[in-house]
Amino acid sequence: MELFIRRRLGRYVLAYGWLLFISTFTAFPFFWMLTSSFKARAEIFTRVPVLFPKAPTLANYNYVFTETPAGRYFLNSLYIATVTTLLALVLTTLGAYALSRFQFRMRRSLGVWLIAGQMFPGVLMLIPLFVTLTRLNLVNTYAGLIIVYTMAALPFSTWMLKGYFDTVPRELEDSAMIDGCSRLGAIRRVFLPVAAPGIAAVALFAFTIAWQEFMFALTMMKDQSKYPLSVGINFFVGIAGSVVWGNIMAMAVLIIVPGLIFFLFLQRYMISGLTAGAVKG
Amino acid sequence: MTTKSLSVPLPDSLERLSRRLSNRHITPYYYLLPTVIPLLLLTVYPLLRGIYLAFTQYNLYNKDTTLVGVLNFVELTTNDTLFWGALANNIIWTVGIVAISYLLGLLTSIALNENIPLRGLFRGLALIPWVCPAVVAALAWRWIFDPHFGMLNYMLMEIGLINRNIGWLGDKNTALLATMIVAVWKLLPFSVVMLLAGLQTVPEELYEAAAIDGAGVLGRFRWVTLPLLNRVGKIAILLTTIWAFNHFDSVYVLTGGGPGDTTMLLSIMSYLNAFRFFKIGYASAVGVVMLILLLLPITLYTRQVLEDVE
Repeated sequence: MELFIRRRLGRYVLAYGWLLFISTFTAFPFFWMLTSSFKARAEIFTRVPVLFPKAPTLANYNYVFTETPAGRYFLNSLYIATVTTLLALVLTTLGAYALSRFQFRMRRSLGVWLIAGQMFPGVLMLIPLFVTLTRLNLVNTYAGLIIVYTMAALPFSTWMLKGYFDTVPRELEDSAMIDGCSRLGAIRRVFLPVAAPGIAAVALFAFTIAWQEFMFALTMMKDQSKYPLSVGINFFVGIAGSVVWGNIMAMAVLIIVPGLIFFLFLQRYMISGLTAGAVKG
Repeated sequence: MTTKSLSVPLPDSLERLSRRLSNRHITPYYYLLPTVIPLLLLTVYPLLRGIYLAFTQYNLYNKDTTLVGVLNFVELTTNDTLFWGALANNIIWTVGIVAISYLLGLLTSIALNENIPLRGLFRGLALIPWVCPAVVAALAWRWIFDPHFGMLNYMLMEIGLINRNIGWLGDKNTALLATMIVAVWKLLPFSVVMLLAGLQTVPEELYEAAAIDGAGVLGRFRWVTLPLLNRVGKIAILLTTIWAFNHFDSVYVLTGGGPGDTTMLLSIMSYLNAFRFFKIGYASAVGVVMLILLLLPITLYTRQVLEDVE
């Protein structure tokens, strides 16, 4: 018995030790961004780094909102990510349903394309899309970026949603159809409410892609007033240099906060999205 | 009267057509159209077009396309001083990141799989980098790596591992390693989530049975955990390989390929050729090389996922 307890204790100590180490690694940059965004200039350039600001100040946030277009960037990102999410949901739901419920020719090829579709080098896709969107006068427009992000989200979202739909029993729609619903009616009234968690995971996935993306936005947006946050912060660093770390960190916090909120409340859906298609059950 | 005229049989072919259109075999295609048409326009077309562009010289301004055959590839492999170095960097970068993030992910998921208090908190902390865009991660780390005011040098000095400040991102010897750390940081949540999900499918009885048969902690790990993680582990490795190989954002922001091209990756080389030097065809050729090198992992991954479904 004593041996058992001692062994168990040893395992706890090992597990805690490792988890402390690894969470310091993963969480420290967040801690650093957050606390530094409240530091005054004097506490930023110190040989001995200041962990907690002694006199927290909102000066960085004040500066970022009044002297830089950060608010504008935020709204741009919000608009682009929201429309992308809605579009991705509309475009993927029916297709994922068909993949889950019907047998048809090319089903397998479509599956292959959905899985492989977002593995191709981003730059290889960026160049022709940029050429095409230039021709269509969609470069430097929100619409152009929304189209690109929807493209990026589409394959995996469809595949992920199909996986979730597979877990919803067929009898659900069948019985609704026996009761007189059309198939679309059955999908809307009976199927979708049950499949909501899968749809939430896809929404989070699409939103995250659009919110975090950098390369396409960097290439396509020319007007500063149209920058999303990711390009905006990089642009700000470019013109201001690294002398204004406090301001930069305030802007960084602005980018991270929506993600953090989602993460706190919807972690389960994010995880199911991450592992979709890779782990059974 | 009307009923009668309606009951006049349709010509044979038309009737067959109308039956076929309402046939249940065709129904799936109506459902698929909203997904498939955008998919064709936005992923299939650009891919094919990108491959085509690699065999051309394309001018972004007067939109002249000249087919030049394999000239871009010949130029790339024989005349470009950057290419082989970038390729080598890409491979070192990818292999290093995949190995480190897998190892850290494995240890972390095993620790998280223990039934310990505060497990949820630690899991949350391990996954948190996922919500941080690569650009922001790059900026935060740039400060941590700063030679004079950075946290990393301060810490290493305090514990006595180094005796003078290192310019992590500015030094040719450390720049690639520094960018790899940032990429591992960003990828770790993915490895942890995948491997943890894999571990949780391992039934407790198997461990008990192995323990009864006399297997120690290491034996159980070797003979129970690892074989059962095989499938999820393979998928995690393939996906991280593809992700790392294609990565652009954080390295572009951290170093832009410098100093002295020591962090030049193929994606950055392609990007700079396309949008700084406007050599669209040439840049596409770099992209095609990346695609060719990725064909194996992409195929393996796709096959694995399809196999699991069927």
